[in-house]
Amino acid sequence: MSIETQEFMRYILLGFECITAFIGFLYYPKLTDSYWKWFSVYLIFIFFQELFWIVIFPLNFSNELLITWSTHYYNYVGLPIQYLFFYWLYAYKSLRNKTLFYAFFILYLPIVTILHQYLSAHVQRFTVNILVGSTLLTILAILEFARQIRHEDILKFRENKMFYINTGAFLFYVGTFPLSVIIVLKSSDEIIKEGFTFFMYYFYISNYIMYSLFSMSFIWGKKT
Amino acid sequence: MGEENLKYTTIIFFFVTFTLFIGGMIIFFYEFKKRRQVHLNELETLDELHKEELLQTQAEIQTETMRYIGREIHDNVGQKLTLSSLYLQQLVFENKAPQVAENINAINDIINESLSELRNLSKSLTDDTIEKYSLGELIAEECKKAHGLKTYDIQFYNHSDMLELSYLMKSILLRITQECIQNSIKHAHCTTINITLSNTNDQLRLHITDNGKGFEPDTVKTNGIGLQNIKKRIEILKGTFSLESSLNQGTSITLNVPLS
Repeated sequence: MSIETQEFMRYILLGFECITAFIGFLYYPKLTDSYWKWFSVYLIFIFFQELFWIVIFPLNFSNELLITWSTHYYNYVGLPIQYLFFYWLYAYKSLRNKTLFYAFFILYLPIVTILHQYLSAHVQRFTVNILVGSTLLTILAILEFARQIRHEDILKFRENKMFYINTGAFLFYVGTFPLSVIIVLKSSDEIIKEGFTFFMYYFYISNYIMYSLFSMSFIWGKKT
Repeated sequence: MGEENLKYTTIIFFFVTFTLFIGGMIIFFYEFKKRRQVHLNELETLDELHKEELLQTQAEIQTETMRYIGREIHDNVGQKLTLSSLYLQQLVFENKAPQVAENINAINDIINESLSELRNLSKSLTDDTIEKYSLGELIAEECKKAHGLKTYDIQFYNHSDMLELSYLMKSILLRITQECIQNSIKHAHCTTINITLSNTNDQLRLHITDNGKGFEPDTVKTNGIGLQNIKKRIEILKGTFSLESSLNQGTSITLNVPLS
């Protein structure tokens, strides 16, 4: 995958994030009396976050300081917000298990913080962040999946927002977290040379699918 | 971690998670399909129960309405006509209008006839024989009435136990028996009709045969209103209906109705 192709796919991803955030924004007034309004807020936040980094930090722009800032940002703000939001949505709201949410919250933050003390490189910290965050999310995704199968609401799965969100999150966060590590660890040339091109495509395509499913959750999903 | 190891770990992890995802989706949709089938079956059962209750209620309302009309005819219209008849007789008795005495008598006769017809109508409307008697007794009574015409022989064999049947079931089976007897007399021109009522633990069987001219079920139009009515009525009871007939060999009708 050439740097141009990767840049192009990155912009398409931003387009998907933009559409999803816009749909979330449109549905926000209907969701003000429900916790789903925070999903709209989350998607708008993700879009602006990605827009910011894509504009000031293109792939072919090599600036050590920017790389450090970007890794710092994702390590201490971007990724924790994403993971903690999903833990809250899955455990606290969907599975209605407050203890599980606090347990995952307590597990994620200290593990990441402690491991960061022993890892010097930013990239290694990033890897640990994704590894711990996604492993915990995998457990929640499986629990949510099992809940949906057992629940009577399976008959109305098309109206269940969590069906779309869980499918999307499973496909992307769970299916691609080793790839996220590769993307951080390696340059584009190395990725092509070492035969990871297919996984790069999977990384982007599953991301597109996930944001499409998030949009569907607003359109077809119901509040309750 | 070496480059090769990283590559293989990624590939393995990717395929494991992807297989997990596909497997999960298959389980999800299999479970969805299974639950949907159960749900549809439940809806169907509910619908059937609802229809049954509706029919039962309809039958009850019909009976109640008929009784009410019967009572009203007897107590209200009947009383007024009796009073009218008494006034007319008073007129004749007191000889107040000798010039129209004949007319008054004629009117009185009409009123008395109407009274008699109304009493009969009232009696039939308030009749609770279906409720009071067993199906066997009701069919036997029907055969007795038909046998009174003496133009053919009608035999009833009751091999059934003394079953506590619902009003709806008794009413429907009695109407079907009446329909069959009428068909045999009117269309088949038979000389003998045999009716057999029997039952097993879970089924009631009504078998009606005649020695009439019969017909070829394949060539003759068998969807007449009479047969259609029998089919519809037997469907209400969730029973089955079979008809056998051939030219000059008579006709045989068998009804099987579940008792549960």
